[in-house]
Amino acid sequence: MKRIKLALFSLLLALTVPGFALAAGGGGAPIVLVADTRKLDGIMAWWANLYNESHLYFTILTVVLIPTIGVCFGIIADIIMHWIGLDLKSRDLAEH
Amino acid sequence: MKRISILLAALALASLVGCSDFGKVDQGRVVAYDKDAGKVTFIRDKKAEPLNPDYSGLPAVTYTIPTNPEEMGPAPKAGLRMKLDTQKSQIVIYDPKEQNFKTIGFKIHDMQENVERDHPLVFDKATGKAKVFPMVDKTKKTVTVYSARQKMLVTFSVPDEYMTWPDSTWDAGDEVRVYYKEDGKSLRFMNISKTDIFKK
Repeated sequence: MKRIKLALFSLLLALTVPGFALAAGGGGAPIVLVADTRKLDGIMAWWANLYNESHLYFTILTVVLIPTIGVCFGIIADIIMHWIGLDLKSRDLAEH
Repeated sequence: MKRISILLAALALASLVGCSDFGKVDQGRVVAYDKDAGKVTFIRDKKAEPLNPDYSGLPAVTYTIPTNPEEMGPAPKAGLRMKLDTQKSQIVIYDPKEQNFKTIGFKIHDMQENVERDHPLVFDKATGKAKVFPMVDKTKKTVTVYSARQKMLVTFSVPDEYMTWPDSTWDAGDEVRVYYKEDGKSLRFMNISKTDIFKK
């Protein structure tokens, strides 16, 4: 129950805070953008096409990708540090 | 709970990967805009190079503007000027009647170069508004145009037969980009000339 309340409160903040910020800044005319996909191919074309197709899908993908990439980089950094001899899993004090 | 989150993320990704029925993008310079009919006509960019567009793709193409007003940027300005070549003293315009380009030789009376958008010659600081171009002087039979892209302010005269053409003949139309799935029916409409993503 407590978690649901926290989740609802977080959702409320997420929905209302940008509105307050916009009101404080005076708002502005919405900007309409079309990504230029005419000379793109492969993953770049797919990415730009996704933006043109649906901002919602593009947002979902971005939200999913950012932490995923963060985890991947973290794992790679762990491997490299382990490989060069840095051990961050245990700590031995050198001086007593 | 953890499994449900992973499942939801996997489903979201799977649905995204399934999105392959994408539309196409077209770009051009506007030569006609009918607000009431909701139709815009432009000359297509042939090169598709963002920094070096080539508006010479004939025939002109017509798109209906998006039915959803939120998918429509600022209304485009139409103009028939396609190219201003001061080296050759020629101006290329689009002739809607002949549906083709027309190259007109002109005589330069004055030319100012490196004229930025906020230069006093083209921007009125007192009112905070840009001066309106082209300026057509029917008595002196001269036309003054400002090209923001070329940073050039040019006053020239053309053969008398063209002085009766509307002022918009000498003006460059807005650059626009559309996203579409059906030919002639835009789903999203961007006015490149009037969109500044850095402006608050």
